[in-house]
Amino acid sequence: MKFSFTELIHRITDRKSWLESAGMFLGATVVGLLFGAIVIWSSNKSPIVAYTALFSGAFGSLYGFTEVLMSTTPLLLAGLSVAFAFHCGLFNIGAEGQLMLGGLAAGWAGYAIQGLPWYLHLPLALLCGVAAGALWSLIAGALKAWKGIHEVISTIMLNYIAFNIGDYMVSSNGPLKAAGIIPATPYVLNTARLLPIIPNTRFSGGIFIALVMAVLMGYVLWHTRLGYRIRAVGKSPSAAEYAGIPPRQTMLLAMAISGGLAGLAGAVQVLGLSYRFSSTFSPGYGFDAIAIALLGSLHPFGIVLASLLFGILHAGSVKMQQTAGVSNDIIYAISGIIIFFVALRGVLVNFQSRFSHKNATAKVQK
Amino acid sequence: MKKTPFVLSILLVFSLVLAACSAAATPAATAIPTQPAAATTVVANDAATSAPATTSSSKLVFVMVTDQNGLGDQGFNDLSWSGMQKAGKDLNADTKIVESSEEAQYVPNLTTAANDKASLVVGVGSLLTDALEQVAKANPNTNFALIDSSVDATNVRSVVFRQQEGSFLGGVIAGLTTKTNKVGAVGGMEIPVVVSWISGFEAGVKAVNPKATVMVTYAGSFGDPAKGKEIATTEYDQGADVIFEVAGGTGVGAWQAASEHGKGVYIFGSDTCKYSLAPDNALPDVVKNVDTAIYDTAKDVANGSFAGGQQSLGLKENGVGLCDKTYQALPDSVKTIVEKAKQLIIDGTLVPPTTKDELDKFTSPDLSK
Repeated sequence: MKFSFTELIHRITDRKSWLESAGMFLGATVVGLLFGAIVIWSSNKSPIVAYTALFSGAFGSLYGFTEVLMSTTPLLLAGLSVAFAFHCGLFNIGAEGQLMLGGLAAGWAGYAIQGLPWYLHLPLALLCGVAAGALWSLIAGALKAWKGIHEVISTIMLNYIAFNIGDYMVSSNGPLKAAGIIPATPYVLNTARLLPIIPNTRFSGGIFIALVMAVLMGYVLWHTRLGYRIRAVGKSPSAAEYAGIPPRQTMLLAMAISGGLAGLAGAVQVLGLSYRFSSTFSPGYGFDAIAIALLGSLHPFGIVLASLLFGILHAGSVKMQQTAGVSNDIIYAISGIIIFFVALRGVLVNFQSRFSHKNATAKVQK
Repeated sequence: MKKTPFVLSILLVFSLVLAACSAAATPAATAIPTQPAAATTVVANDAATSAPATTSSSKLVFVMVTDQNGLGDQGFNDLSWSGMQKAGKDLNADTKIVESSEEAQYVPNLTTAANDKASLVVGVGSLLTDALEQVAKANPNTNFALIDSSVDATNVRSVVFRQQEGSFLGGVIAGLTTKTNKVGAVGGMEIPVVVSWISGFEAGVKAVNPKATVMVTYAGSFGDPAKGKEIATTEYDQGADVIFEVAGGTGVGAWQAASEHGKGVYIFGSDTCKYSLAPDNALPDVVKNVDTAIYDTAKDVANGSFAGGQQSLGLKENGVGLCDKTYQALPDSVKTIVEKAKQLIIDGTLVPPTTKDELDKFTSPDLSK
């Protein structure tokens, strides 16, 4: 049997019902937390103390909760990006690279373009991020559409190019490097910043941009002709072509939208939190996003919940380290287990379908 | 029927993951001393009540905050944490560590530490510079220390090392050891601290071996051993027979490359004695005594004699040096020249370069006489 990424993804995400998706989500989360508890306990710490700290860090104060939302924002946008491409049958592993360039372009536009009022400058800087991400993903899209080069291979390779472009731009003698110790561009102007909207927090409201995108994505995918085409190509490009849907154009468009969302994730992070691009601004949002998209069953609502879960883990881990003395490696272990269980579902469905297939053939032979 | 593979796979996953993760998590976790149970009731954001830490009568609390590279680098961060732990033990203080998982967490991590009534918050690594400056100015009653970079604030002690003095000596050894007249350097990120390490090294090589060429490659990360291994292997393949790594966790991969390459090639690293990673290939590492610097700072806090300001540590102050065990194994002819260079640096007649520009203008006194 030929192995196909697309088929595997369909197996993981094909939901028979809302209930099943919710079950997978809750099941994976509970098992992940239980497993984390066992590891904490086996290193002679109290899991109750650790988790109390984790959740009090995330929900115990307004500041903590806004930090959760700030951690959630890039993950949500990048998760939507990955999911959007999946709906067209494309596995966009390149979200991280697109996000990196999106952040770079937005950071550049934020300080290099001057003299605009904020209501022009901020959208323009965000758009620069979107455009950079979209253009970068289009390279992989075009290679796929016309040369049949698998997007998994090309996006992975494009990631490395993007990382190195980012590194170069702000290296010691890089063209965009600001004076100082940190490898970063100059700070963006106030007119390009998503400034904090709650005093004494860093809450920039970027989460609202992300939520609007989630709603838009749901609308486009299930309530427009474009969405129908994208999903049709995702199920079977040849069948779609037979039905009169141009698969190449549709793939390109889906890839561009996916890259644009990833670029927006980078832009929102740069303009709303660090106020400048640095080569290390993303710890791998674009890779976490793959897990988040799958955990959320590729549905915008599921992705909102999945990214919120990861946001809670990341933001709460600070408190957990300080008051419970538990290393934040536990967080990676927990998210690893969650991802593992989500992927396991694909394998289980495979088992199930083989068994039912055997039973069915056996019955026919009788 | 359908249930069996499900249950089996769950069991399998559990046992696999447990075996893998408990082994990995335990050393890190046991390194952290147990906190008193009362600590769990503390909730952050009581900045208003935080009193000047030195006058507080309760137990001292030292908090170390790392950048996203964290513990396990067998160098800089691990060494800093060991100095902190020793201070905690000797001064009967609580020690805590917060590893930042991303750049966006620097500010909240430092802020939480300050709000938690820490007597001393130590930021380890120059990437934390801007965040620490911001937080230190917002919390003028908390004592801060910053390693490897400097911040202008009265409540911050900035500790910088003249690592180029140590790496110059490393360069001298490399220049005298190489037979191919090609040496390599593996850098983590191209930031000023690493550039000064490598500039000093290049100057040292050139001072004793003008014919030698130096290949310099930056990995772009301190946490990517696979990349470190790839870079080191490439440099060895291009004819280098001595490599100097200044790459933290990334550098661990370079040591692997040396050890797999076998005898005939050499490697040495920065920050700590790492010869155990490749005993057959090790030249003396250039050590940087961050642990002592942090220990001394913590002691000053305990004695009430903490003051902000800048501290610069080099060969003279014993802030940097060579790993003694591997150094003693060198031939006497090499040691004589190294000692001479060391004396000139301590006297101030030889000033190793810290940047590429300084390196281009650098001329070394004759060390062979």
